[in-house]
Amino acid sequence: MRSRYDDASWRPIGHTVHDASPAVPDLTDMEKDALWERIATTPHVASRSRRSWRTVVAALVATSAIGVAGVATAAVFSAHTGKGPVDAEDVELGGPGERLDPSAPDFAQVLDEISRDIRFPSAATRQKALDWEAADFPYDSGPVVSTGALRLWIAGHAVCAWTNDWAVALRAGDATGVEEAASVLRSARTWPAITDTDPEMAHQSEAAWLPDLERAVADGKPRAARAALFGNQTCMPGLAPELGMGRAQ
Amino acid sequence: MTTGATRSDLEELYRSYADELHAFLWRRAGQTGADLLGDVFVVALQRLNDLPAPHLRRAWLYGTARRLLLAQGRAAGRRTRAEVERSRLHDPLSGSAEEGSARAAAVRMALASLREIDRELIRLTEWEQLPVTEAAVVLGLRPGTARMRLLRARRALAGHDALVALLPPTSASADTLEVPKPQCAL
Repeated sequence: MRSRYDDASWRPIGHTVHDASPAVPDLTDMEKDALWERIATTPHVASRSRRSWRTVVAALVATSAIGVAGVATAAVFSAHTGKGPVDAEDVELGGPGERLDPSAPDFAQVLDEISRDIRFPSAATRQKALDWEAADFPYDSGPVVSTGALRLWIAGHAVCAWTNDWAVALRAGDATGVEEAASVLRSARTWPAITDTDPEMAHQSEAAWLPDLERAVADGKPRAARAALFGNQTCMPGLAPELGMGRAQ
Repeated sequence: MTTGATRSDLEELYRSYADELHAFLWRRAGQTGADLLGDVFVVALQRLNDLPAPHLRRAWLYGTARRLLLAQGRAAGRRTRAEVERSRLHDPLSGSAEEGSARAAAVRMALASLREIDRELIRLTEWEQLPVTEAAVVLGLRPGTARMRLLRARRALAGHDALVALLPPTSASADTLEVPKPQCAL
Protein backbone atom coordinates (compact mmCIF):
# COMPACT_ATOMS: atom_id res chain seq x y z
CA MET A 1 0.00 0.00 0.00
CA ARG A 2 1.47 3.32 -0.98
CA SER A 3 1.02 6.48 1.00
CA ARG A 4 -1.63 9.01 0.02
CA TYR A 5 1.14 11.47 -0.79
CA ASP A 6 1.67 9.83 -4.14
CA ASP A 7 1.17 12.64 -6.56
CA ALA A 8 1.99 12.89 -10.20
CA SER A 9 5.27 14.67 -9.64
CA TRP A 10 6.50 12.25 -7.00
CA ARG A 11 5.49 9.00 -8.66
CA PRO A 12 8.39 8.64 -11.13
CA ILE A 13 10.87 9.59 -8.42
CA GLY A 14 9.26 7.17 -6.00
CA HIS A 15 9.50 4.39 -8.54
CA THR A 16 13.17 5.19 -9.09
CA VAL A 17 13.84 5.10 -5.36
CA HIS A 18 11.87 1.89 -4.99
CA ASP A 19 13.70 0.21 -7.85
CA ALA A 20 17.04 1.10 -6.27
CA SER A 21 16.34 -0.84 -3.08
CA PRO A 22 19.02 -3.44 -2.36
CA ALA A 23 18.27 -6.97 -3.51
CA VAL A 24 17.42 -9.31 -0.65
CA PRO A 25 18.07 -13.07 -0.57
CA ASP A 26 15.01 -15.19 0.09
CA LEU A 27 14.32 -16.53 3.52
CA THR A 28 13.46 -20.17 2.85
CA ASP A 29 10.57 -21.94 4.55
CA MET A 30 13.06 -24.25 6.21
CA GLU A 31 15.05 -21.34 7.62
CA LYS A 32 11.87 -19.67 8.73
CA ASP A 33 10.59 -22.76 10.52
CA ALA A 34 13.93 -23.32 12.23
CA LEU A 35 14.07 -19.74 13.40
CA TRP A 36 10.55 -19.91 14.77
CA GLU A 37 11.49 -23.00 16.73
CA ARG A 38 14.30 -21.09 18.37
CA ILE A 39 12.04 -18.14 19.12
CA ALA A 40 9.23 -20.28 20.49
CA THR A 41 11.53 -22.19 22.82
CA THR A 42 12.86 -18.99 24.36
CA PRO A 43 11.62 -18.87 27.96
CA HIS A 44 8.80 -16.37 28.24
CA VAL A 45 9.28 -13.86 31.02
CA ALA A 46 6.00 -12.01 31.18
CA SER A 47 6.52 -8.31 31.45
CA ARG A 48 4.48 -6.04 33.64
CA SER A 49 1.83 -4.35 31.62
CA ARG A 50 2.70 -0.69 31.41
CA ARG A 51 0.31 2.09 32.00
CA SER A 52 -0.67 3.85 28.87
CA TRP A 53 1.30 6.92 27.93
CA ARG A 54 -1.79 9.06 28.29
CA THR A 55 -2.38 7.79 31.81
CA VAL A 56 1.17 8.67 32.77
CA VAL A 57 0.77 12.17 31.39
CA ALA A 58 -2.52 12.64 33.19
CA ALA A 59 -0.91 11.49 36.42
CA LEU A 60 1.95 13.92 35.92
CA VAL A 61 -0.41 16.78 35.38
CA ALA A 62 -2.50 15.87 38.39
CA THR A 63 0.62 15.67 40.55
CA SER A 64 1.71 19.06 39.33
CA ALA A 65 -1.68 20.51 40.12
CA ILE A 66 -1.51 19.19 43.65
CA GLY A 67 1.98 20.51 44.15
CA VAL A 68 1.29 23.99 42.92
CA ALA A 69 -2.26 24.67 43.95
CA GLY A 70 -2.94 22.01 46.50
CA VAL A 71 -5.92 20.85 44.50
CA ALA A 72 -6.06 17.64 42.51
CA THR A 73 -7.92 18.22 39.29
CA ALA A 74 -8.31 14.96 37.44
CA ALA A 75 -9.72 16.67 34.36
CA VAL A 76 -6.69 18.91 33.88
CA PHE A 77 -4.83 17.95 30.73
CA SER A 78 -2.06 20.15 29.45
CA ALA A 79 0.44 20.03 26.61
CA HIS A 80 3.14 20.37 29.25
CA THR A 81 4.32 16.90 30.22
CA GLY A 82 7.23 17.94 32.41
CA LYS A 83 9.36 15.37 30.60
CA GLY A 84 12.55 15.94 28.69
CA PRO A 85 14.71 13.76 26.45
CA VAL A 86 15.85 10.54 28.09
CA ASP A 87 19.22 10.21 26.36
CA ALA A 88 21.46 11.59 23.64
CA GLU A 89 19.65 9.64 20.94
CA ASP A 90 16.38 11.09 22.10
CA VAL A 91 17.85 14.57 21.76
CA GLU A 92 19.21 13.71 18.31
CA LEU A 93 15.92 12.37 17.00
CA GLY A 94 13.48 14.52 18.93
CA GLY A 95 15.30 17.73 19.76
CA PRO A 96 16.02 19.35 23.12
CA GLY A 97 13.58 20.66 25.67
CA GLU A 98 10.37 19.56 27.27
CA ARG A 99 8.24 17.08 25.43
CA LEU A 100 4.85 18.60 24.68
CA ASP A 101 1.66 16.73 24.00
CA PRO A 102 0.13 18.22 20.83
CA SER A 103 -3.21 16.55 21.46
CA ALA A 104 -3.82 18.59 24.62
CA PRO A 105 -6.43 21.34 24.30
CA ASP A 106 -3.94 24.04 25.29
CA PHE A 107 -1.32 23.04 22.71
CA ALA A 108 -1.88 26.11 20.50
CA GLN A 109 -1.59 28.34 23.56
CA VAL A 110 1.60 26.64 24.67
CA LEU A 111 2.95 26.94 21.13
CA ASP A 112 2.30 30.67 21.35
CA GLU A 113 4.03 30.90 24.74
CA ILE A 114 7.18 29.03 23.80
CA SER A 115 7.75 31.04 20.62
CA ARG A 116 7.26 34.61 21.84
CA ASP A 117 10.94 35.47 21.53
CA ILE A 118 10.97 34.55 17.83
CA ARG A 119 10.64 37.70 15.77
CA PHE A 120 8.33 37.72 12.76
CA PRO A 121 7.87 40.62 10.37
CA SER A 122 4.16 40.79 11.19
CA ALA A 123 1.56 39.36 13.53
CA ALA A 124 -0.14 37.83 10.53
CA THR A 125 2.90 35.83 9.42
CA ARG A 126 3.53 34.68 12.98
CA GLN A 127 -0.06 33.52 13.37
CA LYS A 128 0.12 31.73 10.04
CA ALA A 129 3.22 29.86 11.19
CA LEU A 130 1.71 28.93 14.56
CA ASP A 131 -1.50 27.77 12.91
CA TRP A 132 0.54 25.63 10.55
CA GLU A 133 2.43 23.94 13.33
CA ALA A 134 -0.66 23.46 15.49
CA ALA A 135 -2.56 21.97 12.57
CA ASP A 136 0.24 19.53 11.89
CA PHE A 137 -0.78 17.50 14.92
CA PRO A 138 -4.41 16.65 14.34
CA TYR A 139 -4.37 13.28 16.02
CA ASP A 140 -5.53 12.37 19.45
CA SER A 141 -2.77 10.04 20.49
CA GLY A 142 0.85 9.34 19.78
CA PRO A 143 4.34 10.59 20.54
CA VAL A 144 5.10 13.94 22.04
CA VAL A 145 7.11 16.69 20.38
CA SER A 146 9.97 18.69 21.86
CA THR A 147 9.91 22.42 22.47
CA GLY A 148 13.33 22.53 20.78
CA ALA A 149 11.99 21.08 17.55
CA LEU A 150 8.91 23.29 17.56
CA ARG A 151 10.92 26.44 18.26
CA LEU A 152 13.38 25.57 15.51
CA TRP A 153 10.62 24.99 12.99
CA ILE A 154 8.89 28.22 13.96
CA ALA A 155 12.20 30.10 13.74
CA GLY A 156 12.59 28.68 10.24
CA HIS A 157 9.18 30.07 9.32
CA ALA A 158 10.19 33.46 10.74
CA VAL A 159 13.40 33.49 8.72
CA CYS A 160 11.39 32.52 5.69
CA ALA A 161 8.93 35.39 6.22
CA TRP A 162 11.77 37.89 6.72
CA THR A 163 13.49 36.65 3.58
CA ASN A 164 10.28 37.19 1.67
CA ASP A 165 10.04 40.77 2.96
CA TRP A 166 13.68 41.32 2.06
CA ALA A 167 13.08 40.08 -1.48
CA VAL A 168 9.99 42.27 -1.85
CA ALA A 169 11.92 45.33 -0.66
CA LEU A 170 14.81 44.48 -2.94
CA ARG A 171 12.56 44.27 -5.96
CA ALA A 172 10.84 47.55 -5.00
CA GLY A 173 14.12 49.37 -4.46
CA ASP A 174 13.21 50.00 -0.82
CA ALA A 175 16.66 50.34 0.74
CA THR A 176 15.29 50.84 4.26
CA GLY A 177 13.16 47.73 3.99
CA VAL A 178 16.04 45.75 2.60
CA GLU A 179 18.32 46.74 5.45
CA GLU A 180 15.70 46.11 8.13
CA ALA A 181 15.01 42.58 6.92
CA ALA A 182 18.67 41.86 6.27
CA SER A 183 19.55 42.99 9.77
CA VAL A 184 17.06 40.58 11.28
CA LEU A 185 18.29 37.77 9.05
CA ARG A 186 21.89 38.43 10.08
CA SER A 187 20.85 38.15 13.71
CA ALA A 188 19.05 34.84 13.22
CA ARG A 189 22.20 32.83 13.95
CA THR A 190 22.05 34.14 17.53
CA TRP A 191 18.41 33.29 18.15
CA PRO A 192 18.11 30.79 21.01
CA ALA A 193 15.37 29.04 19.05
CA ILE A 194 18.06 28.08 16.54
CA THR A 195 21.20 27.81 18.64
CA ASP A 196 19.55 25.65 21.30
CA THR A 197 19.11 22.90 18.72
CA ASP A 198 21.85 23.70 16.26
CA PRO A 199 24.79 25.70 17.59
CA GLU A 200 27.05 24.69 14.69
CA MET A 201 24.89 25.30 11.61
CA ALA A 202 27.10 23.08 9.51
CA HIS A 203 27.16 19.79 7.67
CA GLN A 204 23.68 18.27 7.71
CA SER A 205 22.48 19.90 10.90
CA GLU A 206 19.03 21.39 11.19
CA ALA A 207 20.00 24.99 10.39
CA ALA A 208 22.92 24.30 8.07
CA TRP A 209 21.07 26.32 5.46
CA LEU A 210 21.38 29.58 7.42
CA PRO A 211 24.96 30.48 6.37
CA ASP A 212 23.95 30.00 2.73
CA LEU A 213 21.00 32.30 3.27
CA GLU A 214 23.21 34.90 4.95
CA ARG A 215 25.55 34.89 1.97
CA ALA A 216 22.66 35.23 -0.45
CA VAL A 217 21.27 38.21 1.48
CA ALA A 218 24.68 39.85 1.72
CA ASP A 219 25.13 39.43 -2.02
CA GLY A 220 21.60 40.62 -2.80
CA LYS A 221 20.67 37.41 -4.59
CA PRO A 222 17.06 36.33 -4.05
CA ARG A 223 17.50 33.25 -6.23
CA ALA A 224 20.31 32.01 -3.99
CA ALA A 225 18.20 32.86 -0.92
CA ARG A 226 15.41 30.77 -2.30
CA ALA A 227 17.78 27.92 -2.99
CA ALA A 228 18.99 27.99 0.62
CA LEU A 229 15.45 27.85 1.95
CA PHE A 230 13.93 25.55 -0.64
CA GLY A 231 16.69 23.00 -0.52
CA ASN A 232 16.06 22.50 3.15
CA GLN A 233 12.28 22.73 3.14
CA THR A 234 12.40 25.55 5.65
CA CYS A 235 9.40 27.46 4.39
CA MET A 236 5.84 26.44 5.08
CA PRO A 237 3.46 27.08 2.19
CA GLY A 238 2.50 30.69 1.75
CA LEU A 239 5.22 32.47 3.72
CA ALA A 240 7.49 33.26 0.81
CA PRO A 241 5.37 33.89 -2.31
CA GLU A 242 7.90 36.45 -3.50
CA LEU A 243 10.43 33.66 -3.74
CA GLY A 244 8.04 31.35 -5.52
CA MET A 245 7.57 29.09 -2.52
CA GLY A 246 3.89 28.67 -2.12
CA ARG A 247 1.02 31.03 -2.63
CA ALA A 248 -0.53 32.79 0.33
CA GLN A 249 -3.03 30.40 1.85
CA MET B 1 -3.08 1.50 23.47
CA THR B 2 -1.93 -1.98 24.44
CA THR B 3 -4.18 -4.98 24.16
CA GLY B 4 -1.84 -7.87 24.86
CA ALA B 5 -1.34 -10.87 22.64
CA THR B 6 -0.92 -14.63 22.89
CA ARG B 7 1.88 -16.85 21.68
CA SER B 8 -0.49 -17.99 18.96
CA ASP B 9 -0.96 -14.37 17.90
CA LEU B 10 2.79 -13.97 17.79
CA GLU B 11 3.27 -17.00 15.59
CA GLU B 12 0.67 -15.61 13.24
CA LEU B 13 2.58 -12.32 13.17
CA TYR B 14 5.76 -14.22 12.46
CA ARG B 15 4.23 -16.16 9.59
CA SER B 16 2.77 -12.97 8.15
CA TYR B 17 5.68 -10.59 8.50
CA ALA B 18 8.93 -12.54 8.87
CA ASP B 19 9.76 -12.21 5.18
CA GLU B 20 9.28 -8.47 4.97
CA LEU B 21 11.04 -7.84 8.27
CA HIS B 22 13.93 -9.98 7.08
CA ALA B 23 14.06 -7.86 3.93
CA PHE B 24 13.94 -4.66 5.99
CA LEU B 25 16.80 -5.80 8.20
CA TRP B 26 18.84 -7.00 5.25
CA ARG B 27 18.39 -3.77 3.31
CA ARG B 28 19.60 -1.74 6.29
CA ALA B 29 22.58 -3.81 7.40
CA GLY B 30 23.04 -6.87 5.22
CA GLN B 31 23.46 -10.28 6.82
CA THR B 32 24.38 -8.77 10.18
CA GLY B 33 21.06 -6.98 10.23
CA ALA B 34 19.11 -9.99 8.99
CA ASP B 35 20.49 -11.99 11.89
CA LEU B 36 18.38 -9.80 14.17
CA LEU B 37 15.10 -11.21 12.86
CA GLY B 38 14.86 -13.78 15.63
CA ASP B 39 15.64 -11.13 18.24
CA VAL B 40 12.74 -9.01 17.02
CA PHE B 41 10.30 -11.80 17.77
CA VAL B 42 11.99 -12.77 21.02
CA VAL B 43 11.45 -9.18 22.17
CA ALA B 44 7.82 -9.46 21.09
CA LEU B 45 7.53 -12.75 22.96
CA GLN B 46 8.86 -11.18 26.13
CA ARG B 47 6.49 -8.26 25.76
CA LEU B 48 3.29 -10.00 24.77
CA ASN B 49 1.37 -7.93 27.31
CA ASP B 50 2.63 -4.71 25.80
CA LEU B 51 1.88 -5.37 22.15
CA PRO B 52 -0.37 -2.71 20.67
CA ALA B 53 -3.71 -3.23 18.96
CA PRO B 54 -3.56 -5.66 16.04
CA HIS B 55 -3.56 -2.98 13.36
CA LEU B 56 -0.41 -1.46 14.87
CA ARG B 57 1.56 -4.66 15.42
CA ARG B 58 3.37 -4.74 12.11
CA ALA B 59 4.63 -1.20 12.67
CA TRP B 60 5.58 -2.14 16.24
CA LEU B 61 7.68 -5.00 14.90
CA TYR B 62 9.40 -2.69 12.42
CA GLY B 63 10.06 -0.22 15.22
CA THR B 64 11.56 -2.96 17.35
CA ALA B 65 13.69 -4.11 14.43
CA ARG B 66 14.92 -0.58 13.88
CA ARG B 67 15.82 -0.13 17.54
CA LEU B 68 17.72 -3.40 17.49
CA LEU B 69 19.63 -2.23 14.42
CA LEU B 70 20.54 1.00 16.18
CA ALA B 71 21.53 -0.89 19.31
CA GLN B 72 23.62 -3.25 17.24
CA GLY B 73 25.45 -0.29 15.72
CA ARG B 74 26.09 1.22 19.13
CA ALA B 75 27.12 -2.08 20.67
CA ALA B 76 29.63 -2.61 17.92
CA GLY B 77 31.43 0.30 19.48
CA ARG B 78 33.42 0.97 16.39
CA ARG B 79 31.15 3.09 14.31
CA THR B 80 28.53 5.66 15.08
CA ARG B 81 25.05 5.22 13.74
CA ALA B 82 25.74 7.85 11.13
CA GLU B 83 28.82 6.01 10.03
CA VAL B 84 26.86 2.78 9.79
CA GLU B 85 24.34 4.58 7.64
CA ARG B 86 27.01 6.11 5.46
CA SER B 87 28.83 2.86 4.99
CA ARG B 88 25.59 1.18 4.04
CA LEU B 89 24.76 3.93 1.59
CA HIS B 90 28.18 4.24 0.02
CA ASP B 91 29.90 0.91 0.32
CA PRO B 92 29.94 -0.51 -3.21
CA LEU B 93 30.46 -3.99 -1.84
CA SER B 94 27.43 -3.92 0.40
CA GLY B 95 24.87 -4.52 -2.31
CA SER B 96 24.29 -6.48 -5.45
CA ALA B 97 25.43 -5.67 -8.94
CA GLU B 98 22.03 -4.15 -9.47
CA GLU B 99 22.75 -1.70 -6.70
CA GLY B 100 25.86 -0.66 -8.46
CA SER B 101 23.97 0.69 -11.42
CA ALA B 102 24.07 4.37 -12.13
CA ARG B 103 20.43 4.78 -11.13
CA ALA B 104 20.92 3.07 -7.81
CA ALA B 105 24.05 5.11 -7.19
CA ALA B 106 22.14 8.30 -7.91
CA VAL B 107 19.37 7.26 -5.52
CA ARG B 108 21.89 6.42 -2.82
CA MET B 109 23.56 9.78 -3.27
CA ALA B 110 20.24 11.60 -3.06
CA LEU B 111 19.14 9.61 -0.01
CA ALA B 112 22.46 10.31 1.67
CA SER B 113 21.72 14.02 1.46
CA LEU B 114 18.71 13.62 3.76
CA ARG B 115 18.74 13.56 7.52
CA GLU B 116 18.64 10.05 8.89
CA ILE B 117 15.04 10.18 10.04
CA ASP B 118 13.85 11.61 6.72
CA ARG B 119 15.87 9.06 4.79
CA GLU B 120 14.24 6.33 6.83
CA LEU B 121 10.80 7.75 6.12
CA ILE B 122 11.50 7.57 2.40
CA ARG B 123 12.87 4.04 2.67
CA LEU B 124 9.99 2.81 4.81
CA THR B 125 7.41 4.17 2.40
CA GLU B 126 9.18 3.28 -0.84
CA TRP B 127 11.32 0.25 -0.10
CA GLU B 128 9.12 -1.39 2.53
CA GLN B 129 5.91 0.06 1.08
CA LEU B 130 4.57 1.01 4.50
CA PRO B 131 1.82 3.62 4.60
CA VAL B 132 3.01 6.84 6.20
CA THR B 133 0.88 6.23 9.29
CA GLU B 134 2.77 3.00 9.99
CA ALA B 135 6.11 4.59 9.14
CA ALA B 136 5.27 7.23 11.74
CA VAL B 137 4.77 4.53 14.36
CA VAL B 138 8.06 2.90 13.42
CA LEU B 139 9.93 6.16 13.90
CA GLY B 140 7.99 7.35 16.94
CA LEU B 141 6.58 10.35 15.10
CA ARG B 142 3.09 11.72 15.08
CA PRO B 143 1.37 10.97 11.79
CA GLY B 144 1.11 14.66 10.99
CA THR B 145 4.79 15.17 11.63
CA ALA B 146 5.68 12.15 9.54
CA ARG B 147 3.57 13.43 6.66
CA MET B 148 5.21 16.83 6.86
CA ARG B 149 8.70 15.37 7.00
CA LEU B 150 7.91 12.95 4.19
CA LEU B 151 6.61 15.78 2.04
CA ARG B 152 9.75 17.79 2.71
CA ALA B 153 11.99 14.81 2.08
CA ARG B 154 10.25 14.13 -1.22
CA ARG B 155 10.70 17.73 -2.26
CA ALA B 156 14.37 17.51 -1.37
CA LEU B 157 14.80 14.37 -3.44
CA ALA B 158 12.85 15.87 -6.33
CA GLY B 159 15.30 18.74 -6.40
CA HIS B 160 18.46 16.71 -5.92
CA ASP B 161 20.81 17.03 -8.84
CA ALA B 162 21.49 13.30 -9.04
CA LEU B 163 17.80 12.46 -9.43
CA VAL B 164 16.96 15.45 -11.57
CA ALA B 165 19.54 14.21 -14.04
CA LEU B 166 17.84 10.82 -14.16
CA LEU B 167 14.28 11.93 -14.68
CA PRO B 168 12.37 13.85 -17.31
CA PRO B 169 12.26 17.62 -16.62
CA THR B 170 8.55 17.57 -15.81
CA SER B 171 9.06 15.33 -12.80
CA ALA B 172 11.71 17.46 -11.19
CA SER B 173 10.59 20.98 -11.96
CA ALA B 174 9.57 21.95 -8.45
CA ASP B 175 12.61 24.13 -8.02
CA THR B 176 12.13 26.64 -10.76
CA LEU B 177 11.96 30.25 -9.69
CA GLU B 178 10.37 31.42 -12.89
CA VAL B 179 7.41 29.04 -12.76
CA PRO B 180 6.72 28.41 -9.10
CA LYS B 181 4.45 25.49 -8.35
CA PRO B 182 1.87 25.77 -5.60
CA GLN B 183 3.01 23.99 -2.46
CA CYS B 184 0.99 21.12 -1.11
CA ALA B 185 -0.93 21.81 2.05
CA LEU B 186 -1.18 19.02 4.57
